[in-house]
Amino acid sequence: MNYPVWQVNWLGGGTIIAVISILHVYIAHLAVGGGMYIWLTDCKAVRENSVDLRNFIKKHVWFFLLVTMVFGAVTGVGIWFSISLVNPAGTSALIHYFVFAWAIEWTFFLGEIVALLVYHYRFDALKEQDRNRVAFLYFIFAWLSLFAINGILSFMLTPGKWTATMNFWHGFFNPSFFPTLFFRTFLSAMFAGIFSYVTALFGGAVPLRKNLLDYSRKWVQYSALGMLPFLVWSYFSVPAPLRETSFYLNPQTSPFIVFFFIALFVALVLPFYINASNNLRYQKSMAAVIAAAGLFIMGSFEYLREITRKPFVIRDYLYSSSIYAGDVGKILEEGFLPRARWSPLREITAENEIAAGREIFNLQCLSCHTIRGIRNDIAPRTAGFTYDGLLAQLDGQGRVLDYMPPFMGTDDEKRALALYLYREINGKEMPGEPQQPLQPGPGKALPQFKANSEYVLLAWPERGISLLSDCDRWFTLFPPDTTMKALLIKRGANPQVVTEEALLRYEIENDFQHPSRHIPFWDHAESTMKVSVKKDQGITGSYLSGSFVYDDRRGTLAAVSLPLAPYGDSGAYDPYPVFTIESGIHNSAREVLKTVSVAAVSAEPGCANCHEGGWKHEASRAGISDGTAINILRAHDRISRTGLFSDARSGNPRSCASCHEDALSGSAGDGKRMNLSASIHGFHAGYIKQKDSGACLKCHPSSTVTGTMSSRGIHETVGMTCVECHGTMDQHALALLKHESAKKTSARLAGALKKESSVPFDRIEPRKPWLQEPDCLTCHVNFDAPTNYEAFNRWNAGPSGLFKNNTDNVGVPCQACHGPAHALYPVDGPSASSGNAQPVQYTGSPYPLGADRKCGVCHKKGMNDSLHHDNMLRMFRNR
Amino acid sequence: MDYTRLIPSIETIPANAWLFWLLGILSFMIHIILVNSVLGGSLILLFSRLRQAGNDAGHGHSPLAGTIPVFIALAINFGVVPLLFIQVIYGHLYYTSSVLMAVFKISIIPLLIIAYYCSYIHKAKVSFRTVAVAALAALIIILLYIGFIFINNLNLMVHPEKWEHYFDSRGGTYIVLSEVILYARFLHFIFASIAVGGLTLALVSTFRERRGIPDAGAAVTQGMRIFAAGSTAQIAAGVWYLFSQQSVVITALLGGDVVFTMVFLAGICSALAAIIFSLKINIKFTVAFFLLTMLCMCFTRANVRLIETQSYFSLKEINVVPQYDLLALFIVFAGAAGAAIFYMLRKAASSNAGGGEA
Repeated sequence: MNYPVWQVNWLGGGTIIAVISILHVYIAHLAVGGGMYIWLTDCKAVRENSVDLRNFIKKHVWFFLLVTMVFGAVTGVGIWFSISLVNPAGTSALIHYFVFAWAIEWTFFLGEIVALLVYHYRFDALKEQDRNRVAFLYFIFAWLSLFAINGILSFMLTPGKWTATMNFWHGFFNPSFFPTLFFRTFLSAMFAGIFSYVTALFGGAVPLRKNLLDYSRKWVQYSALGMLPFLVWSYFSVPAPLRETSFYLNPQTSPFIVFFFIALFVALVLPFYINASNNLRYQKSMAAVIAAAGLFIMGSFEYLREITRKPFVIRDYLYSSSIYAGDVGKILEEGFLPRARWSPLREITAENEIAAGREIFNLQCLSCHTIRGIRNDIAPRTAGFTYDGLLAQLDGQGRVLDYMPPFMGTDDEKRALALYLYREINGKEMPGEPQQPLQPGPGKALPQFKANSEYVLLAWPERGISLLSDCDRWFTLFPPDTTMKALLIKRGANPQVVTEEALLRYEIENDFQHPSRHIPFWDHAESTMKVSVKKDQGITGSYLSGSFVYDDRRGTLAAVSLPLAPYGDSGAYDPYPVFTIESGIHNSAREVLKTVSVAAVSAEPGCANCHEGGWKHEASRAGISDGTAINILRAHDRISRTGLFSDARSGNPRSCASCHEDALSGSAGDGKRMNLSASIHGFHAGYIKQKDSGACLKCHPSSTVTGTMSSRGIHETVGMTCVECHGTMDQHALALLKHESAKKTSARLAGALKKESSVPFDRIEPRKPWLQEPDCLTCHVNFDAPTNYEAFNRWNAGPSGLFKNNTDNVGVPCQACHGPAHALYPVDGPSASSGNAQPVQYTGSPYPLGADRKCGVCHKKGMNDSLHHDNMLRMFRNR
Repeated sequence: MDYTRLIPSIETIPANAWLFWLLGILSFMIHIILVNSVLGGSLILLFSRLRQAGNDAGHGHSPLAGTIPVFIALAINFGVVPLLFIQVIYGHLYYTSSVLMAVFKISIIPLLIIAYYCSYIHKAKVSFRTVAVAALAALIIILLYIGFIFINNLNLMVHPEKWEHYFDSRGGTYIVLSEVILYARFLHFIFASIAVGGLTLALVSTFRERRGIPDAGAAVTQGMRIFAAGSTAQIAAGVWYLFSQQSVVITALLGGDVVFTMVFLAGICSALAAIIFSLKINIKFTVAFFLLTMLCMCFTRANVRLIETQSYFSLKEINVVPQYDLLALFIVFAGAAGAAIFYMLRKAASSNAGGGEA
């Protein structure tokens, strides 16, 4: 922002630096090692009184001079030119903080070239001893140059104490200085050996060729081996979190690690083949190969060093975008554009929003990304996101995947950048407004309840809403899985729960009886869920019509894992399909009891809000489309180094729970990764920054188009949102992550979120998903009116304490009278009529069964004792 | 647009700005003498080569063929120092103007490599006329291009009012071609090169004459004549260059600022002295007055920059955070390196008696 940006959209400024630098550094290391080689070989020639060796050196030095002095020296200046043009702020910092180091290095450079010129031009004239001394001086000057430059180069990666003290000596003798100095010294000697192969084979007839080849081999192999411990030391001189970011999280590093070690292997092994051969042409080509291997070794190492330093030019001090780390706070407060000297725009208006986004991109992003260019192209990297997705990406940028910098700017500037990326880079139009909301259908006709009926039949879904992911060709996040529970109560002064003779049957509405016609789950169930089920059959074997069976674990009659989907055969999308439950009781009256229960199910996990692809069914804004599913898998593959996309494409999609333990589906996962809820919330919390339920509703359905409401019961009606019970997104995630703290990624994800949580991390109670939830009694002390409205951070101890599993003092499930969580009676909104069907059927009002002192629904008369739970004998509070 | 808003902020420096100013001037002087020698020597060689037909390896000017590659090496090395110091005290202006013409600047690197190799090709193939001429021509054209780009860069550096042109072409292709001063300065550079080329020829030939090489004496005279002619043309070009400056500069150099004027006039006087001694073929005094001229003119060049930037920048503005320990270390290393270099050059000179190619 202090300097103008040289816009090299296609090639990328970094590419220019990379090409010049890698060529220079290869030759510069050759110059250092070559100096050592020339000096030692000259001494050897004198010692052995070998004219042939002396002549070889003379020729060798001539080629050496042509390569190092011309190409080497000018590309060195080339680096300086290129970094000044691509990152003047960084160059200026290095110049100003290390002026005298550069000045001292120049004296070495001068000594080096004078030595080489004298050595070459006076080779025959100098006395042998003097010639040896000049060679030695050349080597010393060359190595001292390496010493000086390595101080500054290693400083950029590991500035160490300099960041706090800004002391030259702390910066120069930084943590990675010595390891890399010795690494480079041995590398230099190795390159000298490689060059020796080249001059021994390409320099015309050489009498001592065989000896020279053996000599060259030793230089290459011994140096390579000597280098290895310093390579390891260099690796460990980089701080551990940085190593993790660079070598595990950054997808760009692996190819270069592979290149490095393959090239090193080639360089180590090829000398044996060259020396054993008698065919000069073969030897020459192998020499060319080993020279290329040297270039790959150097290039890979430097590339890895550069990648590890990202997103900084000087770690913790100056970003690659030329923004100072110390300025970030002010930028977030005051804005980026007003502070950017070289932006023609200072403020954002409706007319210039995209142009402002373009300026922000140029100043913050172009330093590393190209636009439809040869590397790090921003276009495909942003194509997988919607506009909201881009905003989320910018919100979360650099927090976990910290090889990227954070976005630096105000919310307006973030929107401008997202708009530029969406509209101009990716050429997309903003999506239109959603269509007219679907009107809820007429309520289902309620069965009659006779006043003298012997029984009360209750049935309810275990969960207030089931989500299903209908993109099973690509992955299964949630299979169709709705569990219904039922209770038959024999009415009387002492009501009895009837189990064995209940003979309860259930049947879904006609239109929803064939989910296999609408969702691809059954085409891939063997691959995703590792089960063999027939079409329309649930994962535990149940169909959408059948009988309730007593479930030991649940302690009630249940119909488990019914494969319900919200797609009707008529083409309707209805997230509130209704079960009819009947009982054929064998009693004197031969009563056929009937009730209805809505089992809310939604195919609207909001992935498409951020992951581009639109909805599978645009009109109903439901379903995970192929495009969205693919974008999700690609992101997962890139970030977590998986192969999910290619697996799915070759016909083997996976379920998320196959790796991530999930108590809901009962999967144990692979034991290595965090559980599903911790993973998905822990990761996304970094990108979804809202502190209200807006964060939750990015993914959990709440649609004005379909009328699907994840939360639609009494809590919703009195104005509570997800956050009061579950905490804000970051708190919710931290509790899950804390439970998984033994797993590797937990610390990194939690670390990125800790600063934001209003509850300090050490006071957050770890939570196991699905088995520990907020407890009603945290607010409803003694089952009374709530004393506070925050239930976050106090969980039930174990599964039996869950609302869905709990019973009252006499064994009646809480859900039987109150309905399922998130759809507690009275339900409001589009599903009200079917959602409140049972209370209305039995009591005439939508309130929990027994409310308003209507004990008679089961007891056939009024009661005076708060037997089921305290404080129950009164009028319903929220009418 | 208020152009001063575009001027980047400056960083701290580890010693007094005037130290870097001074060292920059002295090192630039060495650099530009070497560059002038290379370009001038190449022009002399090309001219004489074109004038005669055939492959003539024994030409009297061939010694320059050997000095050119060596001087290029030293010119690059001595270019590092002024490049460093200009970035220390004028970096905020220098980097900015560089970025605006980035494509031209970066092209210097591959072109310089080609030019440098051409100097070696020329030397190796000096007896093959076509190759030798082609290599020389390429070298000359490239050096002229590099010179012009640097002139443009340094000119743009002191004209921040032009920087807003960045917003019309952000790809680093901005170059000013319409200003007269650029061409006056370019001509000043070319004539200087011819003069220094001639002086180099004279000096090299003097050493050859002492070693008894035939025709060397004639080459000394020829070199001195070229120096005289080049320097005379230089004075004319200098007048043009002076009067294409901004009026505030002209005023300062012609009496407005006492010190600047004295330095400038001293330069002109010593140039005249150098010309006179060159016509007398007096090597020692020619070289002495030539160096004095260069010193005064390099100071004048730096003084002019001070004047040109005074409305928006002063060296006094830069904050100093001293690193005197490092300055001392630099002096120590410079001394040690200097001693080693002196030792090597002495060995090289004393070994000359044993023969060997120059």
